[in-house]
Amino acid sequence: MAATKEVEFHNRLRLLRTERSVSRKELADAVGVHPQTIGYIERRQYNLSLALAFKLAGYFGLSLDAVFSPQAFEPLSDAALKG
Amino acid sequence: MNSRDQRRIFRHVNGPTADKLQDQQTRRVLVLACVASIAAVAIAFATFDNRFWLLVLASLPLGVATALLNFSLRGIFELKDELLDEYQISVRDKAYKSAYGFTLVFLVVVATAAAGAELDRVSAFALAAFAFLTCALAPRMLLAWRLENSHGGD
Repeated sequence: MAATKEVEFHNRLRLLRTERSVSRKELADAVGVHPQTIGYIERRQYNLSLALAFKLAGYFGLSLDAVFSPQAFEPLSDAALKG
Repeated sequence: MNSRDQRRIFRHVNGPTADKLQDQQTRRVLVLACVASIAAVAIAFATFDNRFWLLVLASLPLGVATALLNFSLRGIFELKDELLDEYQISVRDKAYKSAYGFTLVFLVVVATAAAGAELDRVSAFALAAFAFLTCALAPRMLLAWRLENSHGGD
């Protein structure tokens, strides 16, 4: 059996929570996990399941790739400069 | 354990008392307290001599330390999967996996030491109690020692 290297996913959860004034607890309750789990996901200490990723993206009304990415997200300031 | 008991435990391990036990330093202190309590129970067995009160007395700190350790881990080793989220289930499963290796090595060391020591019946019983309690609590002690801080709040 071939070993698979775990991919670490980047996410915009903290940014989205701050932008929309959503607490960890509110988000956690909405998607059915413990608030600590949201913290571990935000800090990339846990690679979440696809089902939970969809729930989180759905909560913010965004597509999956707008919230999660295998590559680091471009800083917002860079994106703004590009127009 | 019925589901009402499980719900009760769930409320407690997610309550304010458990919130105070979520940093790594506290968890490590609790692990050391558990190890010391296990040693105390083993010593009580070794000096048992029909004194039940000694055994009961030595078991009390272990009970308290284990309960607090369970609180610090949000009860993930006691609660059913339905009451845990995917992170908690994943962490618990990894803890069992890593504890398996530790337990094997630990039992080989204990068995080798016991074989060369020509123990009497009481000492053998004490060593067995020490080995049993260590192996039983190994998954939660190893996890509590390794688990990183959760940085509560927003």
